[in-house]
Parts: sequence; C-alpha cells; structure tokens
Amino acid sequence: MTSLKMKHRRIAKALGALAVLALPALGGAPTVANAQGAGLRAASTPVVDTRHARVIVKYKADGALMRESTLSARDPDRVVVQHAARLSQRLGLVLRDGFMIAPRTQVLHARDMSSAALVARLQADPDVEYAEVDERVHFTAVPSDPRYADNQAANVTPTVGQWYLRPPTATFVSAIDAQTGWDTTKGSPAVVVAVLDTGVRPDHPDLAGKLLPGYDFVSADPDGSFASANDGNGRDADASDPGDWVTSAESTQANGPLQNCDIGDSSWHGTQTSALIGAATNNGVGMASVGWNVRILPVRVLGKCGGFQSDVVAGMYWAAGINIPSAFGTGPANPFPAKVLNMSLGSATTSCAQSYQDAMTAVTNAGANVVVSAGNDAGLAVGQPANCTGAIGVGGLRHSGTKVGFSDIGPQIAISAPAGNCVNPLASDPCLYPILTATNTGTTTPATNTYSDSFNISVGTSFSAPMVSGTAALMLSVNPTLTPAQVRSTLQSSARAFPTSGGTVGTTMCVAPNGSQQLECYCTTSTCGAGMLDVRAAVLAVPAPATTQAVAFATPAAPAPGASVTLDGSTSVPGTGKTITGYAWTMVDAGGIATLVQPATAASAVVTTTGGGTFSVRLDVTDSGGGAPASKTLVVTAATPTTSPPSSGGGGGTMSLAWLLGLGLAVAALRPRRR
Amino acid sequence: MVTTIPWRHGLLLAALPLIGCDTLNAPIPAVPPPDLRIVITTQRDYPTPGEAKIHAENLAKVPIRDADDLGGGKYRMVLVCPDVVTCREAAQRIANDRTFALGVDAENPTTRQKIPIKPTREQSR
Repeated sequence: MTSLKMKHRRIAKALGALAVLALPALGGAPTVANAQGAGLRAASTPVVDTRHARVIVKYKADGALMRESTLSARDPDRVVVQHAARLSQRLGLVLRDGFMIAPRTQVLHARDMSSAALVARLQADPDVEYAEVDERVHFTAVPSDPRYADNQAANVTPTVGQWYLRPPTATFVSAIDAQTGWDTTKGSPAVVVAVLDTGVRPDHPDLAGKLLPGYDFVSADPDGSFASANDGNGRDADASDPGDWVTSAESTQANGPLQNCDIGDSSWHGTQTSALIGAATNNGVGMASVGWNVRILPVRVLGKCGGFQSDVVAGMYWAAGINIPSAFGTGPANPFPAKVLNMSLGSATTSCAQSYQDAMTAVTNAGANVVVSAGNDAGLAVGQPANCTGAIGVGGLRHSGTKVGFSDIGPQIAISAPAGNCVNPLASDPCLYPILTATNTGTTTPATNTYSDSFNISVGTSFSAPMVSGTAALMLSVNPTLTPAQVRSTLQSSARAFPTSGGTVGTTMCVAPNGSQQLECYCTTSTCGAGMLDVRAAVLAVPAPATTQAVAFATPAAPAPGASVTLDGSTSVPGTGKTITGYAWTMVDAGGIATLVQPATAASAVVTTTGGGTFSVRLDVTDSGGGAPASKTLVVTAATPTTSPPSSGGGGGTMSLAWLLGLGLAVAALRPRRR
Repeated sequence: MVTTIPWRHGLLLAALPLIGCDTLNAPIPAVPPPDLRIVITTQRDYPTPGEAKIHAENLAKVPIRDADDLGGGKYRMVLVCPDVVTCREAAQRIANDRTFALGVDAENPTTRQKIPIKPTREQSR
C-alpha cells in the first residue's frame, strides 16, 4: 500500500514537472480540460532565445574528433562524446558539454548567441554530421479557453464545446483540426484579417486587445436619414456595433428607409464572425479562435437591414489598403492593410455586379484574400459576392460532413467548412452542434457580452467563412509571401474528401442548383468545393518562403500619446533551409517623440514616446545564409483615439433638405451684388 | 458696393428657423422622395467626385447629391427626383452617353447586402 502511494507520488511529481515545462507554451497552468488528448510535440514557432544556445550535434564516424576519441575503443558508437572543449578552441566559442543522447550525438550549450547561430557554425565544421536546434517540447496546443473543451462544465452548452476546431472523429467528421494546425503555427499578430460586417462589440472580453482601429462605412440611407446606420451618422472611425434590430414599425413604415426589412433582434453578427477568426485564445476566458494570435480589423459595412453594395465595395478597398480619395468620408488610409477579408454577407443576386467584381479584382491584385460565405437559401445557387471571380466561396457542412440543409451550393464554392447543425428540429430542444462563438445578450442596443449556445444558436454559412479566413491567416503566418492564388489552391489541395456515407437516412447526392431547395445532401466537388477544410493539412502544405521574411508588429498597435510600445519581430520567417540568427532594430524617424530602448538586438524591442505623433522603426533580420538582412519598417502613430468623427456620406440626415434650403435662402439674401 | 434691400431681410428671417433645425428635431417626411442611388462606371477617372457629378447632372437633367468616389472610375451618387419614373429616365440618360458612362447600376433597398438569412431549425438539422 505504502509503496503504491509512493509510486503514485512519483508519477504525480513527474507529471507536475512535465506540466511546468509546458507552462511557457500554454501561457498558464494547464487545466484538466486542456490535457485531454494531449501528446508531446515540438512547437514549430519556438520562442527565440538569443542569449542561451542549446543544440544537438552528431559527429561523423570518420571525422577527426571521433577518431581521436575511439583510439582505444572497438566500437565508435559506444564512446562517450564530450567535445565542447575541442570545438571551443576550433570555433573560437565558449561551449559547454551537455548530455550524450545517442551514439556520436550530444547536446552542446553556449551563451550570448542563439541556437540557430550555433547550429550555423557547427554545420560548417567538417567533423559534424548534423547540428540542429534542441527545441523545447510542448504539449499539443490545446487552448485553455473553458468553452473549447468537450463535456464542459455543467449548465454550459453545447456540451460538445468548440467541436469544429478539434481533430475529426467518427462523429465530428467535418471538424477542421485547427488544434493540430496550431502545432505548426498559432498565427502572427502581424497578419490582419478584416471583417466586413456589422461592426464589433469592442468590449467583449474575447475581442478586447485583438482589434485594430477599424472604420464604419455605413453611410446615409437614400432618404438622407441614418436609419440603417443606427449610429446617428455616416462614415467614421467608429466600427463598433450599435445593434441592427428592426422593429415592426420600421418595417411597415410606408416608403420608410427600412420598409419591408426583416423584423428581428440585433444579431451581433460581426462580433460572432470576428471571434471565430481571432478571439483571444489560450487566455482561460471564453472561447478559442482559429487564428489564435492574428488580429482583427473591424470594417462596418452593414447596419439595420444590411447595407448598400457601394458601402461594402468601399470597405473592401479600404480594408486591403487601397486608398480611395473621397469627399464623403472614405476616411484616412488604412494603416493596417488586411491580407484576408472575411465577408459573411451577400444578396441572392446570382450574377456578380461589376462594381463588386472590380473591387474583388483590385483587392486580390493587392495581395488580399477575399473569403465569402455561400449563403443560406437552402441549396439555391450561390449569390453575390461569393459568386464573383476571385472570391473564396465557402459552403456549409453538418457535423457528419454532409451539406447542411440551409447552405447554398454551386461551382463557385471553393471549399466547405462546418456551419453548425442542430439535429433536433424543435427550438425548444437543444441544438446539438452549433458554432459556439462570442455574442451579446442585447435584443436592441448592446447589453451583456456572452457566447452563443444550444438555445441562443449560431448556425449558418456566415460561420463557415471565418474558419477559412482564420486558416488563411495561419497560412500567411507560415509564409507571408503567399499570393491569393496560392492560398486558394493550397486550401483546396489540402482539403479532405467529402464523405459519401454517414448522413441522415435518405440523404442523396447534391445536384447542381436548379431553383429548388436542396436540404442535406452528400457534397460533390462541383457543388460544395474541393473538400472539407483541414487546417492541419493546410498549414503543413505551405512551403517556407524562398528568402527570409522580416515580420514585425507593434503592441499596442495604436498607442496613446506618451505610451510605451513593444515591437515584436519574433514571427519573422526564415527562408528555405535557413535559420534566423539575429535581430536589429533601428529608429528611422523618431518623429520628435520616440526613443528606442537599447540594446535593440533581440526579437522584441521597446520604444518610449513622449507625446502624440508618428515614428518609424526598421527591423533587420539576419539568417544562417549570411546574405543581406531582410527588413521591415513599422510606422506607428501615437494619437488619442477618434470616437466622434464627422458625419458623412449623404448629407445631414433628416434635416438636410430643410437645412440646405434655409442655407440657400440665407446665402441668397446676403450675397453681395453689383449694381 | 454691397447693399441689402428690405425684402431680402425678410427672406433671411424666414430662413433662419430652417437653419436652426437639427437632426433630432426634424420630422421624418411621411413619404420621402424616391431618390435613386446609382453607381456610375465612367470612361475615365475624374480628379474629384464633384466633377463626375457635374457631368452626370448635365446628362440626367435632375439634381444630384452625395457624389462619392468608389475608386476604379466608379462614382456613387443620388439622383434627386419627384418620382420613380423620372429617376429611372434620368439614370437612363446618363447610361446612354457612352462617352461618359460605361455602365450605371441602380441601388435600392431590394439589392441591399445582408447577413445571410438566418436558417430555420428544420434547415439546420
């Protein structure tokens, strides 16, 4: 009994030690939930330590070092290798021996250099068979967010948590396996995903800190009012969501701006889609997101009863960093151009309007990927803008991998992803497999931030598109040079084949849209795209960039005057066959307000500011290839946030005609005249 | 020499209450004019949306407000008309001048871009 207890204690101690080792990766203590299914893997985006090198080196059996060591031994593979002293002399370094871990293989330590730099030096030595970074090993990247897990706490639904992010199983056939994908990358904050939607609730705990300063493109209604905008003005820098509820009175008002609009409560749609892409992950709060570390640029283009195509088009250009001059508030140039645009919106129009197509072409030519939901008209043809050339149209799947009843279909769909499904048809019964995401309890104006569940459900292709957007952002974190065409082709080639069985009894194959509704059906590549989204396979399929890419971002992205700013270059990407050996930050233009804290030769640096203004800093990243460094210049503006910008886009609301008439009369009355 | 005559003073006084109107106090017209919002794809870029608007106004023969540059030679503006037919005819006149317009797209509430319709539970099985 006593020995059994001691054995348990030893096991517990060993597990505890393992957990401590894993802490830096998890950002906190692992919970019971996040230990589920955990395995050990090497993180592929390690924290770069430039001051303590630790490498594994194997010596050549016929090299001078091994020959000297084996003079008195029969078998060179049984000789203890501890060659730090000899190599120190030879390389002019101060090396320390570590454990021998295999025949002719040992660990070597060095100070004041990175592991990658030491690897580069050792690889050049003629006695070395190979040298590699001794990477820190972590648990598989299971996030600590409480709503992620299966069988979560009592009274929290759905009981399956965020099933759609986990590896697929016999039950969850369409799950996208973001979980294993996170072992390759957890995303770079330098990758920006624009969410063109209803705006966001910036105070949601899973979005606060993940949002960049966005823009509100919802302009005036044709009658000059701001009924659709619902924020009292037109275009401005406030992309927060004031709610998009439509009342019966508004819907029935003859010739009113919201006449015949669908009556309903506020949707908080932009908050829902944004959180799926970039909710703060592994923070012990709420939910996990596909994109984990990527940042969200909220672009408000929809208000009450949706929005006008022209506002969406304007938002697309702006989001991608294409500056369009305007007299009516297109706004300042976007300082955070997005590489991915998520558009969970559209209309049933089955052709692509020319202005949409032009925007799609311009945006993709600028290097941004446009991901669009297919639509929820239950198997009808894909509407616009998902049907525009260049859009990555996304269809919706049930948990079992069949097309979910509401999803539209057609050859314009590039790929499909889970859209949520309930199994139980009655609203009084729990929806079994919804897409859990962030939302708000307010039926009109915002109230309490919360999450959707089995009764307040979120299902629809609106939630399939963000999974693809988040995946594209992860892919761009692995290789920032990917073109939109490469992103699309890689998503498609890495997708898993659609199942041909396992659907509800009586399910048939999907056929080309024919004007009649098609509910659940077995997907084909001509109706639901290339296959089921597979995050793990997609990020693994991305090749390293040909040359090293310097990647940098600032936190906070839009600092207040006088604030300190942390610059981070740790998500820079080494070129094919290379390792990053150093970082150097240089102040390019201090703008009279900024000071770069020295030394600035680590992956991150700090700038202090003394007031408002703009400064720019360059990051130079060197690699083991020894060529010219890769560079990236960050431009950061410290300014007081703008919350009440000028109104725009359609005059002055209901007062405009009377006001203009009055102004005209007044000007006429006072206008000087010649005699 | 600048002069004002009494009737102009009267006009000014009449106009002042209108200037004082604000968004909150002004009543929403029971029947708003059927103004038509259009997007014109022009043959060439104009330095300002105002210049595109002047050209369009000459063709449309109706007042135009809120010209906005959407980029790529596209300009959004609102035709101000007393009735729907007048607006459509005005848009057609703009579209007919191929030296100015490559195309004219009308925008109205029925072509609004929306969040995809919320699926029913039956469709969500």
